[in-house]
Amino acid sequence: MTLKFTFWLDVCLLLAFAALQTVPFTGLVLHEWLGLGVVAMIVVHLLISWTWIASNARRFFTTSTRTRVNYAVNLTLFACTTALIFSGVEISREAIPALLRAPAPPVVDYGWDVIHDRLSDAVLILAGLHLAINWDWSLTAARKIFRRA
Amino acid sequence: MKIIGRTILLSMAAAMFIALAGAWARSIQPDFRNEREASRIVRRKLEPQLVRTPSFVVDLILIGLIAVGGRMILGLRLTNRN
Repeated sequence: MTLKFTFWLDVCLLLAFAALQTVPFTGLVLHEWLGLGVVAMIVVHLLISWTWIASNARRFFTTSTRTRVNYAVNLTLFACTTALIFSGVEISREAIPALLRAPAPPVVDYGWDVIHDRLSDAVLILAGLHLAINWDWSLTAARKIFRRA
Repeated sequence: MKIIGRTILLSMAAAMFIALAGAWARSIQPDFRNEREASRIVRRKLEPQLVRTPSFVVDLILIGLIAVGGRMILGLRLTNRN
């Protein structure tokens, strides 16, 4: 159950990241709501992986280089994704004004807009590297889930 | 209780990165002479465009290629996952 849930959550995150890369594909409205939905998915993803995060954070300076690199990649992905989502909130034209029941500002904040654009490319690369790190786990999980089905 | 504590920790880390991104955002000056940037802001459409599905597929393939490259070139692998 947990393996199945984790696997499908990760698949949804992967699909969401790819869909969010091209705003015209989803349209701005779906792009913004999907972006907010990703926040919940990331929080659950991180809470599920908490044991790995905590144990590697504790022994960051004493562990192997490979583990340190993995941790650094994951931390950078978290930092970039956080900033990407927040910049999305700052330049939101549909979802955030709807949630706050307030009109969208007449002008998009240029600084946040540039950051949102640049970080989306960085997150795409980091998501690929994150997948590289977890490739074996993903394949094993997929094999187990589809063999059961 | 454990989950709340962990969520608070994650929020604190996120707040730190948001503060850094905020400093970066304030340092960026608008360049209205850059037409590419200006047109990018204007051209956002509200409705989904299914004709852009190939872009979605390309992005998925790109993530896959980066993952393969990350494993083959950079040797990225998980050593332990709980």
